[in-house]
Amino acid sequence: MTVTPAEFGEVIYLLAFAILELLGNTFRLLTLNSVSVVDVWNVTYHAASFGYWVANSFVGEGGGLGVASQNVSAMKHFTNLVSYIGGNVEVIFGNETGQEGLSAAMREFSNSINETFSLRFFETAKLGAKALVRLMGQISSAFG
Amino acid sequence: MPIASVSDFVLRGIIQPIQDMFVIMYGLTEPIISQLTSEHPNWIYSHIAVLAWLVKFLSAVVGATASNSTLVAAFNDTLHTLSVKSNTFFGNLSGKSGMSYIAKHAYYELLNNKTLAIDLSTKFVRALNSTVTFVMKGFEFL
Repeated sequence: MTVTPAEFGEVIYLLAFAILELLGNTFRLLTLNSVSVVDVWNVTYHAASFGYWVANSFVGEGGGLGVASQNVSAMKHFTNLVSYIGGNVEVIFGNETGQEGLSAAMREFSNSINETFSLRFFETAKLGAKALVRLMGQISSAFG
Repeated sequence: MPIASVSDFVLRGIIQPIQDMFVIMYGLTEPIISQLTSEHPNWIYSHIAVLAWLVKFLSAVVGATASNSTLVAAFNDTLHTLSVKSNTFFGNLSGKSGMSYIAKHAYYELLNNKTLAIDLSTKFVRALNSTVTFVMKGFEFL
């Protein structure tokens, strides 16, 4: 038996709620006075430096995407992807009625939003603001 | 004396395994796409469900850590250990140490070896094509 858009909406709700919980708990941890902001910035800076070199291989000058854009064989696969999505766009993403594809799942997800979800959203936003203010407040001691 | 040249290491130890991963991705998904049934949305649905519970599990671990002073101390200890060694482990923008050193030389290898770069990018786009198509088919059949 194939899953229905309503069931898809439920599982998207579950995922979105779990992401909000994870973000909220992470922000709560970062707002604790005992957690060193300088240590957080130190790890973040060095991890971002590694990310910079990884990203270069894909999007940098002469990286994977640049080479792919000038290669017929690579572009053939990209064109096939665009053709597939473009040729089936309404079946995949749906339309304003929300009866098909991703739109149907998102319609069910939107209908299932309740007070618990909205409350969790704003609690996470508040904790996020507190954590960011704390991180930014000590950025000068981290980088000098 | 070095174990091997950095070029040899990034080619055989980093770039080729990544290339193989792309081949596995399109090697598995391309035959499956041609045989998909109307039950395919169940596959995508189940994967989202597993992902949701995985995120919930991580959230429970972080939540328990934030509410317990012993766990917060253990978290701080881990963070501090990683922090004092982060230049050694991750490296920095100069790419002279740690994982940045490996990533920088992998990038330089792609710049210096055009054939390798073309082969890698073709396999990357092919894997991207088949993976995106595989997922989108789930919504197409919904």
